[in-house]
Amino acid sequence: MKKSIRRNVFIAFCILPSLLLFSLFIVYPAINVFKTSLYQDSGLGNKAVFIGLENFKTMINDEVFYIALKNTGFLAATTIAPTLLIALFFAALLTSGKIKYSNFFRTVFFFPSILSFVVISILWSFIYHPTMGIVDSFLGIFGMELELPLLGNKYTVMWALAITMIWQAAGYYMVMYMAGIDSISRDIYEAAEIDGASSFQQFWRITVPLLWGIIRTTIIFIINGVITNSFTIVKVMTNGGPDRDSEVLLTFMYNHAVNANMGYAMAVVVVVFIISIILSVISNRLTGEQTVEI
Amino acid sequence: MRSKIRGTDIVVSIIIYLILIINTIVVVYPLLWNVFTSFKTNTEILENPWYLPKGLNLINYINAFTKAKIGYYSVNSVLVTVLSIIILLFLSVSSSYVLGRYKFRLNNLINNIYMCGIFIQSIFIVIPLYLMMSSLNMDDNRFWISVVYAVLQLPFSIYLLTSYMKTIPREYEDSAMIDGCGHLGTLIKIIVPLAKPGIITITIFGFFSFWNEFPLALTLLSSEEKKTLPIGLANLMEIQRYATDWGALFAGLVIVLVPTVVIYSLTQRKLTSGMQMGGIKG
Amino acid sequence: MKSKIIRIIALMCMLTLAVSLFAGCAGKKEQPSSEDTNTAEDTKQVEEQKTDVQPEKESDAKEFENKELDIAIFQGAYGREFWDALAEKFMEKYPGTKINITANPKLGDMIKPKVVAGNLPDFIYLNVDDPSGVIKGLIKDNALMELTDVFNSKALDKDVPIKDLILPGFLETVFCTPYGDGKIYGAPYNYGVMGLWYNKNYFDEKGYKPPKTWDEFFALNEAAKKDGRALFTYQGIYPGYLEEIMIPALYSAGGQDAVDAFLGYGEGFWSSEAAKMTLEIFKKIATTDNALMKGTVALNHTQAQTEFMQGKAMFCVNGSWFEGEMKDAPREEGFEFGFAGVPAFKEGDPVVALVGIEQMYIPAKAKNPELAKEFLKFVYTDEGIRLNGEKAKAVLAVKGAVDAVKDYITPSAYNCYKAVESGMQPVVGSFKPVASGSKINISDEVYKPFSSIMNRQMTVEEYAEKMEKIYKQVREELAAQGN
Repeated sequence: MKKSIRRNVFIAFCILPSLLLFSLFIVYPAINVFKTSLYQDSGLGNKAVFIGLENFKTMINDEVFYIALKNTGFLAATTIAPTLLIALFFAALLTSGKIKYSNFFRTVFFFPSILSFVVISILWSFIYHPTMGIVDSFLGIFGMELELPLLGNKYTVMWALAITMIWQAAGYYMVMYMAGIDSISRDIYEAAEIDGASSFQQFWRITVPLLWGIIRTTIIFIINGVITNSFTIVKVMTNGGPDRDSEVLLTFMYNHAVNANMGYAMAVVVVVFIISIILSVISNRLTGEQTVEI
Repeated sequence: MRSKIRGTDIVVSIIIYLILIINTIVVVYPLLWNVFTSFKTNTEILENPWYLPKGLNLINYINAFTKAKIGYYSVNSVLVTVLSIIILLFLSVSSSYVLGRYKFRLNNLINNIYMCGIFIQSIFIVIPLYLMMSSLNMDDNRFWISVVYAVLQLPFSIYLLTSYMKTIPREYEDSAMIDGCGHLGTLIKIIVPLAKPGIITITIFGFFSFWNEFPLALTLLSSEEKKTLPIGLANLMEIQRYATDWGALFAGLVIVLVPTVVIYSLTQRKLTSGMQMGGIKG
Repeated sequence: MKSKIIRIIALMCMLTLAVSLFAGCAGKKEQPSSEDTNTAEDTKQVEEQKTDVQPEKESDAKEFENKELDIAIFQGAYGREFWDALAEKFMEKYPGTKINITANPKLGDMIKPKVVAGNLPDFIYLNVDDPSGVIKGLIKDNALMELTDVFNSKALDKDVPIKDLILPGFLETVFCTPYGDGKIYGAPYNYGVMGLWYNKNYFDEKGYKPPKTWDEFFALNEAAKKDGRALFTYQGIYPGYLEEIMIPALYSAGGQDAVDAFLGYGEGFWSSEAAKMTLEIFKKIATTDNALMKGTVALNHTQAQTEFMQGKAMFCVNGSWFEGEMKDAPREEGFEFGFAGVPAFKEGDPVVALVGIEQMYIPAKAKNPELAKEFLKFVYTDEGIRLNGEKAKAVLAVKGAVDAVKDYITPSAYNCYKAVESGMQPVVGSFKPVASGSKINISDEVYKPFSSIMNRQMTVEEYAEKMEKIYKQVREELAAQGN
């Protein structure tokens, strides 16, 4: 008996500090987000009025909300698959053992993912800059003069943002995949090689299936990454412009928060939160059941 | 290795190396460009972006340090980052150990709560968080912001470390227990050394996230003497905004980059091998 | 400068990525002072004044029961030095009084918790468009003190009521009389003049004349093309700067009525002749070859302004702070700031310029309103005007202030202010507040689509149609709240 008490005390000692701090600094504010979303609250200390689901009803009829939703969806659609495919491709390449200096390439490719998003956004807004930047000037070498600036044209702005996000994230997932591939026994590849499987076949038949668990995890990571990181990138690089053509959900939320519509802003956060959970669940279902260790 | 070298193989490897080199350029050039530009005068910056700087023009760096007090902010950044890492390690090692290796009633529930926590991004809750902290007089305080950083990093760290803990064979603990180590003794003497790669991994992830964190620092720290580097960078941008000093802005970006690069090159082997050994095996 | 402040604050925020309401940043607008990175949250206690004050000063100073005054100062581009110096002088003149100054670039965020708690300073210098929304909130909650009596009372150092010192028309603006009932709640502080700028030296050399009408403006396009520059540029990703053309042009086309209809969501405004004439200008800029500088839409304000100063465009919109703002920016040889205002539609009509005003307030719950009012009057003394010029490099919204501070402000700013005093038609305006709780940010709604217009991805007709709908919604929301 004494032993189990001591065990329980130890469990509590280990669990409780984290749990308490987690409740105070994350759970409590998160609950407040949900609560505020049901109020008309300017956030200025004026009395908040309970309005039920009114904020959500407003959202359904809000044109700009749909633009933001569409753009966030666009970023998810255009960045997730390319990022992961590029990551997978380079991971497979660099772990194949046939590449010299693979350590060098790994180090370099991983680099953008450790930079602050603020740094990346400032840097890329200068890269896309119509006169100071290198992209326009690079295209100019090939005689491709852009009539409108990349970040100032509704047909190019989201692509430009997507490329920045892929640039930032690909190396990160590459290193994750490399870690996974390294743990796959070389024997399997050697056996496949003897059977005459091409590198390409090895990739699809061995690497991808054995990495599936990691791939599933990274999909969830990247969905969250796209939703949150798009905020910084859009705020710094375009401010949602031109017009509203690069508004994303969290910048939309932010604009309402600073425009004395705290309740509405929090309602948007609730929606974003639900969307990210739903997407994660769906992608988890689509990619099959995860085998749980132990 | 095959002894025969076929022509197609050569072509394939040329293409492959070409792709690798192009990607290297794509990754590295923007950063190099940034470094070059930080040495340019404002007039040079507006000229052809491909030109190299005419000389080592250090005035931008001087401006970054004098006008934006980058040195000041660096001290704060180091302080907050170190403090956050210590808190994070204390919280996550103890929690993950118990969650990963003890069976008890609430284990699954707590695990799921932390899993949900991964989805709660700081940006979602920053406003209510600020309100709560200012009512408790916790805002504008370097200790409390470190706690917040650590707690926000907690779900991900616990997720990684718990699955790492699960991979440690039971026997180690059993023999430690038989040797008379208590629960705590076992954790400190046996598990922590064994879990070192996992712990290093979460430390490194923590470092990058704390060092670069921006929105919370901006919201929660209002005194000038408490601000961290990314905020200092924002100040530089502010000056750039009004004094059109692009050079100082680029210099500021470089100043923020350098410690990241140094830490990264020192730890990248541990970082990547840590990821390999850590919980992301799926 | 009101909406300028919004924009600048908004853009600061974007750039600094402030993430909460409380992270609204220091909106610097006029002459930038690079050293305002210091002093964040320091409440500087100005030392109680020594007792050796000249007796004759003492005699004309009134006695106040409560001698302590808390003033809260937005520390933006003007810094805090003016307020420090003014408080010093004030305490000299009113012995025994003590002024505590709280100055902060994020003043709104700082005092917000105090506002919520009902613990307010006695005197606030903060603009209505501060992103913290503090002033807006105070207005909505009727929590400001009426200042009409202050302006009806005699100036401290002259034998005229203060309202006669203020530049004509300023007290009637929405900045000062927020409820539109003639009662003054906001006291005008600095003002700024906005319109088109050109390179004076280049114009003189080539023998071009700054345009007095829009026809002359567009006629210059040929010359601009010949000289290898575009006709016009503006602060691309902050299209809100275009109000500096929009409002003056509306005034020129339809007089004050058109401006009022525009800012007050008048029914049918967007199909009015004035609106059509004004939109036609933007259409022409967007569709005429060489009229709009390439890349404009994606540039931020300093970038666009630098391009202009480098001779890439003939005209650029901005305000009297232009020269100070860009003091370190590279420019083409011989560049000299010249202010052209905004052209008129009809030959012979005056050129128009937009004027913006900053404000000071006294909260209704101020603990020491009497002394706060006295302090406010003190701002409008000759001493105050001069100190403001010397320390803040700014111009108080008072007659003759421009000349009084001529030595302290940039020559271009001086010329710009003088232009308004000598024949150029000033026009003041700011959107009437939308209904409280409304999801519409009217300034975004009105100005953001200009990017699309300039990209020729939206016609002005489509724009007018869209705006008509939004105005209708604003009116309905206001009506629903009984306004």
